[in-house]
This record gives sequence, structure tokens and C-alpha cells, in this order.
Amino acid sequence: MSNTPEKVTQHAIITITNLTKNFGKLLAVNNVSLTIPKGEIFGLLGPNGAGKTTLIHCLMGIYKLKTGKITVMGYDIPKRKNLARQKIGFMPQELAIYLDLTPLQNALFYGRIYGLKDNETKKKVDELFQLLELSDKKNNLCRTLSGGQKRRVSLGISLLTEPELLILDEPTVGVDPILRQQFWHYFTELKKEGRTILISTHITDEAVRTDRVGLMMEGKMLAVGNPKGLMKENSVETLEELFIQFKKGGIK
Amino acid sequence: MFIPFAIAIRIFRQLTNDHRTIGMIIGVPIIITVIFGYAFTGETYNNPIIIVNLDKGNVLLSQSLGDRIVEKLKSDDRITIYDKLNDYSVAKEFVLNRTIAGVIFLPENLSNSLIPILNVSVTIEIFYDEAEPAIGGSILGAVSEAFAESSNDIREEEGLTSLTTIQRVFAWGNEEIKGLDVTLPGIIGYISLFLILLLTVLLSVREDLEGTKARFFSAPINRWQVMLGYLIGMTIFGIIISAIVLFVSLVVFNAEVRGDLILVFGFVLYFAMGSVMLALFLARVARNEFQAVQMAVIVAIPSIALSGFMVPINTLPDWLGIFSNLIPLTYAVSGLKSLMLRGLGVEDIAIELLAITIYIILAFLGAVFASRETVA
Repeated sequence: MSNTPEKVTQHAIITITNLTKNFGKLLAVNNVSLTIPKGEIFGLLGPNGAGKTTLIHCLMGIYKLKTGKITVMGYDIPKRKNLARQKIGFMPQELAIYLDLTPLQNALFYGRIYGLKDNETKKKVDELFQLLELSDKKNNLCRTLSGGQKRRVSLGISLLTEPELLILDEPTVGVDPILRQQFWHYFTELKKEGRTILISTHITDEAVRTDRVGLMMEGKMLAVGNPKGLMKENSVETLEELFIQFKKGGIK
Repeated sequence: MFIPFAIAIRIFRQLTNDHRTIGMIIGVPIIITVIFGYAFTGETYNNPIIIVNLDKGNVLLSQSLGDRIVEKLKSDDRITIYDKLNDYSVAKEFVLNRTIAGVIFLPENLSNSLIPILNVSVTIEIFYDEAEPAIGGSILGAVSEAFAESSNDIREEEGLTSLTTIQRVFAWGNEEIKGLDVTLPGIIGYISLFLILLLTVLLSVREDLEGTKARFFSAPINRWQVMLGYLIGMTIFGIIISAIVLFVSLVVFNAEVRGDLILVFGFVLYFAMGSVMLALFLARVARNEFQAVQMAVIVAIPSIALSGFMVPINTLPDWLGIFSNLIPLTYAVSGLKSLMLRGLGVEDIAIELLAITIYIILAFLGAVFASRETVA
């Protein structure tokens, strides 16, 4: 098998076609289709249990698909998931750092997994941790860090390989407003560098910052579009109101 | 870097960063070695033996001394007569290939030793595997009593006294194996099984609990690399644990090892691989730390009783013996006894190596099969 993608779709980083994923009788993702172009910040917005994390795990090739097709950067998922994963920075919803290790040891571990040399990782850690205000904590055990610091370590690790695509599953959960602002500032910087970001959230204030947003509920993708455009089309002031309209079945 | 090494280094760092875990790795082997070192005693029952009774009797006696001893032995629950043979060297082979526990040799002139005028002095021999001293002790006890009672009977009936002595003959060496030396193979096998099982299960379950699994299993790796990483990382701990047990045994208790220490380490390492795989299987099946620990304990505790570690297997009831044959530690203890006490080589533990190989393969397949839910 060659390492080249099967088909380079112009600008499309993620293509999902008629994806369905079930857990027993539960349809966690129900016939979802979506295309995300290069350089976009795409928001997956939905309440808890909407299917956002399942969709992301399908994209990462963690789950077998029931039906449908996914390509990420041209690679078929899950068949060629490891080739795609090499180019993805993934920040799971959970903390996902080893609490018995220091931030630097965590970074070195993941660096090695992704094929980085230790000195490359250390250099990248110095750069990222300065940005994330973690420089003085890199040799402390993660167990001793605050919740926000742990989230920053987790974000830092997902950025280690300078990935083309960042998939961030609720990255700002439990993060204070100041740090949240910093995160979003950083995401915008990454977009300027041409990176694509898929970010899931249930916070509507965050979703309005994205280029496009996909509204998910009960496994279904209810609508996709520019957040401001969607609100304007439906004559609502906030994305919360849009969700309420959905529930009532009045979406345009 | 070779990915499994990266995983192994991470595992090593995770454990060494936790001072309590380090304390456990060093402390538990010491405590268990000391406890078992002092605690080992016991009588065994139903030891299968072969009797080589060459006693030709004497016209002055109504029944030969040899036959009288055999009669007494039949009713002794410490032994079971497996067979009666006339060739001592053939009978010895049954001990050397570990089919039976020992041979009781009653010499040709045994009855004549009772006749003062003949002035015959003979020796009853008990040939047994000194790696199983509890069994040897039970056989010796049974023969001594049978001989004393038979001699007494004859003294009362005929007024004759024997000049016979009883001598133990060791199958593998010239010296008796005593105390901690005897239990050391069992302790090494057991501690490596128990600690590796516990540590690996906890580490693997923690990967779920801390959410690291989501990131780890989304990395460009496959499950074979993960298995291999755990295998390398935890086997290193297996070696450290075994080294500590051996060190404490050799230095504190002056234990004696007849075989090659390098072979012993190699064998322990091989057995540890199976334990790591079994732990990964249990961790995949368990839903949380508590379940995982209980599963590890459920595997570990029966192993003490049934592996030949504390109680020789051939003294167990037949139905329980079947379970013994299914327990991996049985083969580890048996192999380690051969290497450490009998001074045997790799070629002599082929069955044990085969059994452990099957154990590793089954545990490995179990671990892979149990993680089928995800593609990763």
C-alpha cells in the first residue's frame, strides 16, 4: 500500500458520506454527511449526548463504522487510519495525559509515538509551553498541576507534530474565561497558518467564533452553515434560540 | 525511536515516578520471601512410591522382614504403592522422570540382618527427589515407622534384633535441600506472577480511567505495538522483582542455587511474558480498577495452593490435580525447581517450556480478542 492518499479532493480535508454508527440499539451517529475544507475552523455544536464525540472517534478511526464512508486528508478511514493520524493533532474530551508523568515526559512519549526525535520534541515543547504559559511546570508531575494547566498540557501535546488538521473535542471544558480567550486566539493563529480545525463544543458563545458550524442533536446533523448566517436566516439572536427552533421543527 | 521502546520507557517512567509503587516493587518481594521462608513446613500424603523388595527372608522367620514392612506401608496414608519392581535402577528412573515420588529399596539380606550369628548389617534406602523434601520426609517417616513396628513384632515373636539402618539417597545431588532453598523457585514464580499481574492490570485499566486511551488509541500505532510495549516494559519489572527475591534469598538466608542463574532469569522472563499478556486480557475484560484487582487476585490465590508451590501436586486429590495442570504457575514452579534445585538444563524442562509457550499464546490471543471492540 502506498503512502499517498487515494484521491486528493481539492481543499477538502474531511469528507464524511452517509455515516451511521450504532452502539447496540442506540444510533449515536445517524446518516451524517459533511465536508470540511482546508483552513476552516469548523464547530460541532450540540448538547451532551448529541453524537459529537462518537463522530470524532469515527474520524480518528477508533470505531468501526456501521455504514458510510470517511476520508481524512484523502485517506480512507478506518482502513488507512494510521496514515491520516500521523497528520492529525487530536485533543480528546478527557484529560488524556499521564498524571504520573511530567508534561515533558508526556510530550516525549507522544513525540516518540509520532516519530519525532527527542530533541525535536524538546524544542517544540519549549516553544509551545511558553505560549501556553507552562514553561515553569514542564518538570512537575501532571498530577500536581491545576485543571487548567492540565488542559493546556493536553492541548500542547496535540500540537506537537504541527498537524495539518486539529481535532479538538470540547477543549475548553473546565477552562476559565481568560484561558478560553487565549485558546481561541491561538486557534485563530493556527488557522492563519493554513491549519484546519474541527472543534466540538456545547458552548454556543464559542460556536459563533467558527467559520462554519454543524448543529448536532440525537446523532443527526440538523444544519450546517456560517453561525451568523444561520441565525440571520432563521431570525434568531443566538444559537440557543436556533436549537429551540429545531426542537419545535421550525428551521429553514 | 522504535515505538515499543517508547511505550516501554513511558511505562517505566510512570512506575518510577510513583514512590509508592516503587515501594511495593521492592517491599512486597522482601516481605513475602521472609514470610514464606520462615513459614514452610508440612507433611504430605498419598505420595506414589515404588517398592523394590529383594529380601529373601530366612527360614527362622515365619514372614520376611521385607514383607512385613511392605504390609505396614500399605496401610500408611502418607504413601501409595505405585508399583513393586525387582530392579532398583529401573525404579530410580521413575523418580528421575518425576512419575513417582520415591523408591524404597529393601535389600536381599534384610531378614538375615535379624540373625545375630550371621552378623549381617544392611541398609534400607529411600531414593527420592530432594527438590521435594516434604515428600522425602513423609516417605522417610512412613518407612521408619514401618521398620520399627516390624522389628518390634519380630523381637516380640522371635526375640531377634535387626542391625539394619535406614538411609536417604538423593536423586540429584549428594546433599539434602532444606528451608528457603526448597521454596525459592515457588516464591520467585509466584511473586513475579502476582506483582506483574497486579501492576499491569492497574496500569492498563488506568489508561481507561484517565482518558489517555482515547489519545493513545488515536495515535498512529497498532495494537500489536501496544502489546509489545507493555510486554517489554513489564517484563523488565519481572526481572527486577526476581532479582530482588534472589538477592534477599542468597544474602539474607544463604540460599543455595544448584543451577545456572542466567537460565533461571531467562525462564522467569519467559514466564513473565505470559503474566503480562494475561493481565492485558484481564484489564480488557474488567470495567474498572476494582474488578481488575479482584480478577488478578482470583488468578493468583489458587495458584499458591495448586501449583506445587506450597503443596506437592502428586499429593493432591486426582480431581484437584487436573486444575493444577491448567495453572501456568505449576509449570513455572516445576521448571524453576528443575533449574534451581535439580541443576538440570533447558533440555530437561521441555514440557514446562511448551506449557508456558501455550500459556503465552493463549493469553496473547485473549488480550487481542478482548480488545476487538475498537479498530485501534
